[in-house]
Amino acid sequence: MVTDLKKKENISSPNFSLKAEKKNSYDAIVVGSGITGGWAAKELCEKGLKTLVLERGRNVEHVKDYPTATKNPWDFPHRGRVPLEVQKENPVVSSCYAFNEGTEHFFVKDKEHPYEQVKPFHWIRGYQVGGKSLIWGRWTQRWSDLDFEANAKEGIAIDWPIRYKDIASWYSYVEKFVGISGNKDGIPHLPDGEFQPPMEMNCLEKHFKKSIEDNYSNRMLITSRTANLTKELPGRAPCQYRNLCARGCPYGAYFSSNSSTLPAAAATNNLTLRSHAVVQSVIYDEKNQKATGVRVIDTITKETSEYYAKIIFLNAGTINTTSILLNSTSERFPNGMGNDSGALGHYLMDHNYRGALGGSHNGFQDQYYFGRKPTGVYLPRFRNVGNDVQEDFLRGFAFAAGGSRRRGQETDAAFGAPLKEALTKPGVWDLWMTGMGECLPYEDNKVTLSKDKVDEWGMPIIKIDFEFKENEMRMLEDILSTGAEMLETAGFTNIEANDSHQVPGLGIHEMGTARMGRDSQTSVLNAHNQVWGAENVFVTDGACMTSNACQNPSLTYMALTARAADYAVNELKKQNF
Amino acid sequence: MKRREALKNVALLLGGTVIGGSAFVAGCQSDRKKESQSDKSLFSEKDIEFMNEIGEVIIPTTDTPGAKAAEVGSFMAIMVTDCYDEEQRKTFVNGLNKMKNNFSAEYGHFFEEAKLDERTDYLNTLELEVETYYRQKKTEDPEHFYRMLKELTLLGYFTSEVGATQALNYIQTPGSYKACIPYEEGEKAWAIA
Repeated sequence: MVTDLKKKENISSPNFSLKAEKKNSYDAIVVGSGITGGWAAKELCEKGLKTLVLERGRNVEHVKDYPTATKNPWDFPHRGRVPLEVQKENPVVSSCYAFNEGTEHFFVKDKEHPYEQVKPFHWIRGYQVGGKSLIWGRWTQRWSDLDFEANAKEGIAIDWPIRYKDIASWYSYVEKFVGISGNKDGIPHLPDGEFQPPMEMNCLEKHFKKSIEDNYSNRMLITSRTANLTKELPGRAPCQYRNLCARGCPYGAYFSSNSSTLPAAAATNNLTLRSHAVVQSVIYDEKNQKATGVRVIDTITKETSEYYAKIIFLNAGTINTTSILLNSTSERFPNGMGNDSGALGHYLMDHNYRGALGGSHNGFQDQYYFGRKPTGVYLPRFRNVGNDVQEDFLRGFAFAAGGSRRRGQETDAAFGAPLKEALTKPGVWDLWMTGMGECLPYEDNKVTLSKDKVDEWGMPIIKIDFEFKENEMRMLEDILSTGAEMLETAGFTNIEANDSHQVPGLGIHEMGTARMGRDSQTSVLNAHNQVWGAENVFVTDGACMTSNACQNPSLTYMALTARAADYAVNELKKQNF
Repeated sequence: MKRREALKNVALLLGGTVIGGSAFVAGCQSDRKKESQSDKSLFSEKDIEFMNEIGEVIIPTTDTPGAKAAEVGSFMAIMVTDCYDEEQRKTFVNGLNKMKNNFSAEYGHFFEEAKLDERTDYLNTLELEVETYYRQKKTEDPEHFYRMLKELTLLGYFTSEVGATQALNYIQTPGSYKACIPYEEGEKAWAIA
């Protein structure tokens, strides 16, 4: 097939007339090497396409570039804490839960890549090969038609152009390669997938599960389906239970582009990976009505160059992908590529993670655990599901939770040997719980490009204008009251149920702004993630999302990417581009 | 110290609510003016030794090494310099000096040269002082120096190599996971929950 494609290129492509263009020409270009860029690269390379992956950040080689991966707590001068000076210089990124002395090198610092917050929005980024797949949360629950049909049923925004049946086999396809540990729980609106054996619940989690399932007919507590291996996969060892994933895993035991998709892509010899290359815009051929390539700025030399391909996948990460499209203006697309609808940049979503709960449990003093489990438990959505109908809000939420036994027992001793003794013994059990609320797509939650300010590379500064609204806030009340009630019912003490007032963006599930839909007048992408009017451009990262459900989204992005790559290569074979 | 107060204080120490909290956990949004943190000489070698000795009374050597072996003095110096704001640094440094002088005035020699019962007496006095202070403390009042020092001692000790591997149980690479195992009274806690 490689040969076939090559032949076709040489005959038909108008891009190959110049020497420089020939040198810079590929079958496909993938912009971004994060969780979806990695998948696009793997799929396109494995299908025989010479593929160029452009990454704006530095290279991060699997294992070799994980400098903190095997450090002990005492190997860090501040024992994991980030010095005050770093925090003050980085109010945005230092508010991220995963940013610490062991992981900070995988996060964008505030000053390196400024953006404008019209309203407070903490945009957490990882500009490097692998992107945020190095530091992601790894929870991977499927969507169902409860999610895909919601917009249409409720008359919110626009209908998704796909249903669960369109993506189910692609979920299976990516799950097998990603390696997801989990249990088949038989929950219709949280479909089972292709799972490796689950990581077992500890005794407190089991107790909580029993209490919830005994007391509420429509609620279940399950082991979170998580992209951490319990069985080896080619080139990747099972989890060693260190729970240090975000530093990079020397065992390759969690899924990242670096450990998984990029090595698979490279093994085909079809991959070219260029780091320090930021894409400025997509080049549009007015005559042939398709994209021909991308304009790239070398982030170090600031030199510009162009790369050409028949297929372009934009996987720069939701907000950056949309900013590339907004910046890709032409006669045909004066307001940004694919933006006939005016929807480009609008309908930004993040999950509402402000519901922060927890409690202690005095039982189970004769039980403990061995190893550090890198996942927790998951309470799937139960609001506005089946017979449950809420008057106060649409959609619903899930809970993430996890139990552990505290270090240290209570004591009267203020200091000395008795205090030391007490603090070296395990104490009561604690459970943390976070509500994960769906956020509706609102037109005025949006991303725009500054008209007068540019960054170091001449790219317009991105402005983010986002807030949670009434539906999200009403849902938050229910998150706090239902969560606290379940903790109380299960015999927890010192129960906390607080609105953390966490700034939006910190769900790090920014999605939407180039949504999929059924026509070019209301959406940016069609049912195969093709940009309306520039059908050889595909957007398969979070930008494509039409609604955001309450599940962690990366699994769905990966499935959509594999599906779109398959479609793209078939169309290319049919010479439709 | 009343039992309830003592429990509360220990709970605070265990729960990770550490002074300079905003500085210690990611999420600080302080809009204070940028301060110079280049002054790394807030503490002399003698100060560090002094802090080691106070730490050793809080976490003494028993069948496992104590705070001194964990070098909590150096750890405190790093944390106060890098993770406290200017006001907190001032509170800490002034508090340390005041303690040094008060102790000498009261006992006629330095803390480092004192017998354990003198050291214990003095720390008991400080514990009472802290309890009274926090009972009356208004939100805007600074934290108490001794509470800062005690928190740093516990944090530093239990995350140190001797604290984590000898006083507690630490396995860098567990390699397997057992969700539920019996716990026998007296067994050490995991260094990382």
